[in-house]
Amino acid sequence: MLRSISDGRLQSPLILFVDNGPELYPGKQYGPFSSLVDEDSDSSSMFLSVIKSYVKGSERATHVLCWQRKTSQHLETLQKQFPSKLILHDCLSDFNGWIDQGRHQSHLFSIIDNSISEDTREINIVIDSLSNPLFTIGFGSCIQDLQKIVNFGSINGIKVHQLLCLVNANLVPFGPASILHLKHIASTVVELKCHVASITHRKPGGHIEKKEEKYAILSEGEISIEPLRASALTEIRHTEEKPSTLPQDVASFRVGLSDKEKEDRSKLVLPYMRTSDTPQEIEDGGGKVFYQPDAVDDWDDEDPDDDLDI
Amino acid sequence: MASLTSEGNITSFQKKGRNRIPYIQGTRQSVQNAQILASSGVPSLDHVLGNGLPVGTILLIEEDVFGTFAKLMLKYFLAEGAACDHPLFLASRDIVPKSLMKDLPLPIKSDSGSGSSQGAKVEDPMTIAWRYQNMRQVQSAPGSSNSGTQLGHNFDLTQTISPEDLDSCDFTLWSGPEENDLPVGGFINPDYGFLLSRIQKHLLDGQFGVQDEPSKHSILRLAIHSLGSPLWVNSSCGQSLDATIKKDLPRFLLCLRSLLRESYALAMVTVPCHLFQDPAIQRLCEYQSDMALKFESFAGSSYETNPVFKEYHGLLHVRKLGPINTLATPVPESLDLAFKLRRRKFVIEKLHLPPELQESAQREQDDILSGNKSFSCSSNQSSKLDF
Repeated sequence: MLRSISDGRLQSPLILFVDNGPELYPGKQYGPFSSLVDEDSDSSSMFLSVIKSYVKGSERATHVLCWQRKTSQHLETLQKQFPSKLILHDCLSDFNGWIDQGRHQSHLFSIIDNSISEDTREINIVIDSLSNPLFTIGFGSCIQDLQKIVNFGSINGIKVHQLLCLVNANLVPFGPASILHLKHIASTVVELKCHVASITHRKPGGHIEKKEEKYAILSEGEISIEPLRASALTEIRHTEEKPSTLPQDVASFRVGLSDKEKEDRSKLVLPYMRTSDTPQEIEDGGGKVFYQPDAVDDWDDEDPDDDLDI
Repeated sequence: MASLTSEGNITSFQKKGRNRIPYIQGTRQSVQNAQILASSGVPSLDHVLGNGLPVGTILLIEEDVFGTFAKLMLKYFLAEGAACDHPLFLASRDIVPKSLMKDLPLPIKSDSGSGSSQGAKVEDPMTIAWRYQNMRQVQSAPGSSNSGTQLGHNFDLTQTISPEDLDSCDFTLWSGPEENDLPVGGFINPDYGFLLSRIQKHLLDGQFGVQDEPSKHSILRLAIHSLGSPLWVNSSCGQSLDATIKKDLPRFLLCLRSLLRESYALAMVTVPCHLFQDPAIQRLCEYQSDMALKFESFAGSSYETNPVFKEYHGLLHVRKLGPINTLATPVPESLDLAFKLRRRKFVIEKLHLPPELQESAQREQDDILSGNKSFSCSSNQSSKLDF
């Protein structure tokens, strides 16, 4: 699934990569300067590698909003190769518009608004990373812009085919709550932790697909991906087509009966059966004892209660 | 003084000459508490809630994680309104309200399901176990036995409402504040106030108040989708996310409830409670609404592959059944409820364990539910009870 995302084949309006930071081992001593939040983290370079292959694979132009210095540095060479496919926007410098009023970013995509002409077809947008604009532009405003892309596939008249963004789980305004909110609106969530990507993809019909994949970054910036385990598919299964576990599927002989066999079976009179030709008085509840004396029976004609004085 | 009040009491007991409750299409008077009931659109859900939703109340739905079933409930609620010619009001910031309206299911005209089950019964008489022939069949879907007196319609999820029917239906959509709106209520996020003032205006304009006497009484169905979702975060909120919601959301529900109490209207509000870190928000919302249900979907959770829940798509937790016009709430016979979504129909059933068909030394659902706990009384760690 990670492969189909990086090739731009996955149909999903908003793909959110969540960088959960390095694993902390309980009991291990950490020095005073060990950093939980690392711009050069492994997940972040993984995201850049995905972007590189994404730009090559997609036929639409990709606009990258660089909210980190290293993003533009990493992608500069690629931009020279594909100038029409990859457009870099430096969002970090002067985002408040203090030097140049026109550069003030009032909402998440204001920097693209100015650079796009009317006749542009659909574009893809990449935000690396979302952590900074959540602080500078505001959480509520960013969420609303992202939701517009999910709902309408366009923002301020720009048609957006797909939006990829990275967010660092440790670098958000309101802690874990904001990550939950972001995940809630994203159509696909990729959780990155310890070289494992857990992907939750919502299909438009409401079906949920979950995958876990292991990734490694090779020396040339390529990524190798292998599925960790095919975790069971979660679908809102329709009960009608549920797999049957009836014995006839497992038995090595025929379990059912043909019509002829059923007819023969019904002719057999079994004990305790209520037969239709029982006499009427028995049906009515009156009882009668029929006894056929045996040859060896000791039949006594005397009244057994003769000695009693009744 | 005492005699005066007793006299006053005697004179105040007057039997009203006329029936004050007007007849409204798609409603019925409750036998328990004389409340007007309207259907939620799902007959099995009506049964759980005491044969229908009382008019003038809020039903709170705590959304499942992906919101699929909560949205489905709203669709049923609105479709039932459309089938009964009730005016509708749909508010959502997360989705385009119009797209939900276009997706409403169509009512089924006649129910042919019960006839076929009757036929099957006669075809296969029990010859040996004939004593069981006349036993009542176990009804796992609550409320399915008295289908003759059913309040709502049955809907087919595969068919959606035609555009002409949608045009003839009286509905209002809200997806955000408009320019000349004025917020009410002093909320931190003014959007709550905008929505509330719009509802208030709508109730006034449509003459839905109990005092109003319009030519024909009807019931306004208010559906509010995903209230308190990320889209309800104030664009300039400075505090933590939960603190704002904790103040605004229960307050909104309280204001809405007081509006509904004196109107011919009922509301279904879905809230994504799984997004709130503070459990108090959920409790407050339940407290401020009349009835609360929680939908727990198995989609994406470990329950999905659990054999115990093989037949179901999720669990329904009844969080609150408020007493309305009565001291005691009607309690459904079972609170272990589960739901499943078939291709055409959504049903709520009593939770049953599946039949055990595989030969196994131990029943596998026991392992899963009990975890590593050992049931044996003796101290040895063998998992089987030896006799």
